[in-house]
Amino acid sequence: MGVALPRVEDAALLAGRGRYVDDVAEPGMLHAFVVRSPVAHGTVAGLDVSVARAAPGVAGVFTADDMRDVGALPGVRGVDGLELPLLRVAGDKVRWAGEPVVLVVADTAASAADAAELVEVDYETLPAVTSAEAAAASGAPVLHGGSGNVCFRERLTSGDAAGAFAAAAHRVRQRMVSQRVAPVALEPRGVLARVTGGGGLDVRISTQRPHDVRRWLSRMFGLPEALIRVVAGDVGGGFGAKGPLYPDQVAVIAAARLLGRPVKWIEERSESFLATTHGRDQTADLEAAVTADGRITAIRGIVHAGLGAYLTPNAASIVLRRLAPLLGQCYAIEAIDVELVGVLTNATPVGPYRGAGRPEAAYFTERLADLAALETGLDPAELRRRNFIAPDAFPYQTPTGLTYDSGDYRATLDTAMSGYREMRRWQAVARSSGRLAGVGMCCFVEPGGILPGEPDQATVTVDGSGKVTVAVGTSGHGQGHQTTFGQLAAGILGVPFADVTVVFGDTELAPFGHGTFGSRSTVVGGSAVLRACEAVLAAARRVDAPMPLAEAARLLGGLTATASADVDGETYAFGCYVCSVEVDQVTGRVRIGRLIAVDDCGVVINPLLVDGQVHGAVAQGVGQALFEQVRYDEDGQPLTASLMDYPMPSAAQVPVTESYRLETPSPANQLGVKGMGESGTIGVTPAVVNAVVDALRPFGVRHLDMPLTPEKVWTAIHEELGA
Amino acid sequence: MYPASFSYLRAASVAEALDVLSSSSDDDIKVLAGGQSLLPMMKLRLATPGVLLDIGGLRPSLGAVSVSAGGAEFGALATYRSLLSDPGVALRYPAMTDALRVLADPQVRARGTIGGAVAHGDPAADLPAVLLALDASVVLARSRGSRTVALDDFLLGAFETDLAEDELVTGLSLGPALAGQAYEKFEQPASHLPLAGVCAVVSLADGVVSRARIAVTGVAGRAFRALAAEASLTGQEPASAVLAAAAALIGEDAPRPLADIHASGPFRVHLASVLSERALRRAVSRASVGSQ
Repeated sequence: MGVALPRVEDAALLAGRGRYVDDVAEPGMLHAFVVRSPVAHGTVAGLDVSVARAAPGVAGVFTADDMRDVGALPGVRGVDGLELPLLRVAGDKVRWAGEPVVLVVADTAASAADAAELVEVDYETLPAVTSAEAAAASGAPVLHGGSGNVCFRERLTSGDAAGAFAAAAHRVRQRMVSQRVAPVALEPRGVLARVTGGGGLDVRISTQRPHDVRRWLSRMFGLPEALIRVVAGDVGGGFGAKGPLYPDQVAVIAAARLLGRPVKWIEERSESFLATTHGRDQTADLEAAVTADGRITAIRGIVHAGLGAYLTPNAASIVLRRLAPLLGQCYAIEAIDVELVGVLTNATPVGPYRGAGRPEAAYFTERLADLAALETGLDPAELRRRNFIAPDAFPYQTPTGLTYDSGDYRATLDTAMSGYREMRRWQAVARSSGRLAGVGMCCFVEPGGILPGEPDQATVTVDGSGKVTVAVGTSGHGQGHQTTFGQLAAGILGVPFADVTVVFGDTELAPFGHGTFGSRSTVVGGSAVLRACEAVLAAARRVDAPMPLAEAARLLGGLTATASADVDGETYAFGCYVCSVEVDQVTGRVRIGRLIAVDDCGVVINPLLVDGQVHGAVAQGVGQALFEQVRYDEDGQPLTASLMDYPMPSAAQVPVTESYRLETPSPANQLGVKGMGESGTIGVTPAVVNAVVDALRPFGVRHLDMPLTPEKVWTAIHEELGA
Repeated sequence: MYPASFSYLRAASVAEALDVLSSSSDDDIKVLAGGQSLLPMMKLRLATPGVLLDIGGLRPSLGAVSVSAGGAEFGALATYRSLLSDPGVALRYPAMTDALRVLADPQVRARGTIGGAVAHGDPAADLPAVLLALDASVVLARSRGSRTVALDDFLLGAFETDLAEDELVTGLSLGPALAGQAYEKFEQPASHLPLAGVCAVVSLADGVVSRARIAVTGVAGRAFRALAAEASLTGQEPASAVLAAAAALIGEDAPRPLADIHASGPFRVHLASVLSERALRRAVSRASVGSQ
């Protein structure tokens, strides 16, 4: 525990010995290609698959008519009429460019792609709308009928916001956009389905949640879970987007059942930009009430969330259960009054993406904090310090109904302060020589360890030779399960790390769990591993004399125990990120100088893996701040559907992170750990934007929307110079 | 990512390749060299040639790089990597080396060819700006004879060139190198192609600019010469203010700049001006060193 062991999983992955869905082939396997809507909004006026069915190598061409027996995709309780259908038939509507319409299955992937071009679909195009605010306005094209595109409108209120604003010495208000971005996992989605001898299903799928997929498939196909095996295998990144089950994947599985042959489908990169859920897409118009001495007493305003064309299972909770309740962040803000509007648009459905509501909340609040500092004349660090929840106030009940388990926000800020002061000195020197230098900061919390239903389990087995197998219901896809849980179990059981094998991602080999998302694996999976290890140790004590575990296992013919996670609510990791930037005045290009990341995620099992999470998340957070944005034209046509147009940051564009760590244990689980896989995306994005706005202060710039592209920055400078 | 079906021919000699091009009635024949632009377009089915004529095997005859005081000859199949590692290119055409260093990535540089870069006619490719500024000519062969066309006449517009259907780009030909050269680029962040790229070539005599050539890529439908800026420099002392004034004239030769989600037309022109000034400064400084 606490040792920086190198990741044991990397050698195989880096040497190309990983085993992803596309690396698996079944005898007699067919290949699928998805025909997608090229229009953002329209009606399928005509659909003719007869030519495609007769094309060489084609085994089947499927429309919605062939999928009538399949149950609905997992939906959202209480919201009717928004279920995403698997495929389409004539007369149906299509609501985003990329929506699955027809599935072609053939003997090779190439012949499936060829035959797909022979599917004839006539679309009657309708006007499209991709902006949430425009879609919520009266007169907007309506996607689903009924009373319009507003899917939900809720108000989160607590405390006396009106009173706080009436009494406020200052008010700062800003419209801010957390733009729509694409998760872009290295491995796109994929599925390989095979009907087993007993009429069951064997499904390989690139997913974060194999057991939940099994449950959903059981419901959709009316099969007992015992007849379904779901294997994730190696998964090349998910970032939340491989949490949901998608219509194209289910259509492929249905086709395998209809054809009685294995069918594989691998998403193409460009297809992934259209068909895999996007993240963010929120526009906030928020106002903070600030006292004369710089205390933020209330936040009020409205947030419009673009949901895309359908409501995916997590899309509403991202806004209602994450973003809004987290607007208080690290601060003792007494009142909140925020209207939350979820709006359907002719765009790819939105789903969870690394942070899923957390980065948006931190971005909005930390922008407001900087504006409050500007307004009150306080240094941004001092303003934050004055507003922190005190270290002795934990567990802290937020006015929005969250329970922060533990925290010491001043300590993370204090740790960052020497670097912050160095950056300010650098800035002063740079400014005096006419350079545009800025320093930005973000203090944040990160809820983790979500438990969406019955607890996840772990099974720990010690065989007669003393070797240990740890099987967990969380499902790693890059996080380092082998290393973390191996280290954890070795530490608890007192066996060598090399003797522990970790198994996950296979419903036949691993016990039940919800998989990996929401920074939950170490908290929930780790707690289950701890309890299973303790049960094994207890069982080993049944032998008469004290002896090493391996010996006890040999005497008893092996030891095994399965236990459920025992956690008492979510964990709230926190941190303080500070960065410096320099802006090229003539081109508008932003260069990040230093980045200091102070993270406190409770007890650390392996600091190297925590660093890795920070580095990866920082890359994605910098991507949102400076480069990435999913764009559509006025007809809803995607303009960023390839890596030639959608800019992912490269290694050269990601700063070197100076990491510092504090450890405030969580009282919510026995290990004292906190989830932190999303901290980097939460902390770095506001820090970078705050730094750029700070750099542009000589020009009177108060705010700029992301991504902070050279042209946007240059325009802000020159509008000011021209004015 | 599966291209449409096509038939595949691999040429064993230049003569055979030219034969195929001249005798084919198929007008959707495409020549495959390094494949770094064509293959991605085929995988997206943006290009669906019926016949792919692979000339990759002709590197022994079309891959040579030859640089001397009198000029340079680059075989069409010379890869970016081979040009980047050629000491003659580095010595006499440092603007080429500037551009090759920032062109794509190692994998693309290993396979991409200079002939392909020119024949493709991509308005945002790096090398056309450098080659225009270096006064390159394109050598074109057909089964009956060959011709040499100035690159300025060869480039017609976005993905449009003077290449006839029965012709093959066999090489590039450059005149004697001028002393001061530099290439500056501002990248589109996703593709890493230039939003603007500028090559400046300057020679100095008796402390004044005797000749200046400035070429710009990424800003218009094709790489173009900034004639107004060039003219403003001739006969002038290369002082900062002179260079800046010349750079400010870039827009004169780009009346209809490209605009897309990555940059507006005016911003592209602005970037080209900024890069022109930077390239001119470096070119002048290199020319001064060279003339000492």
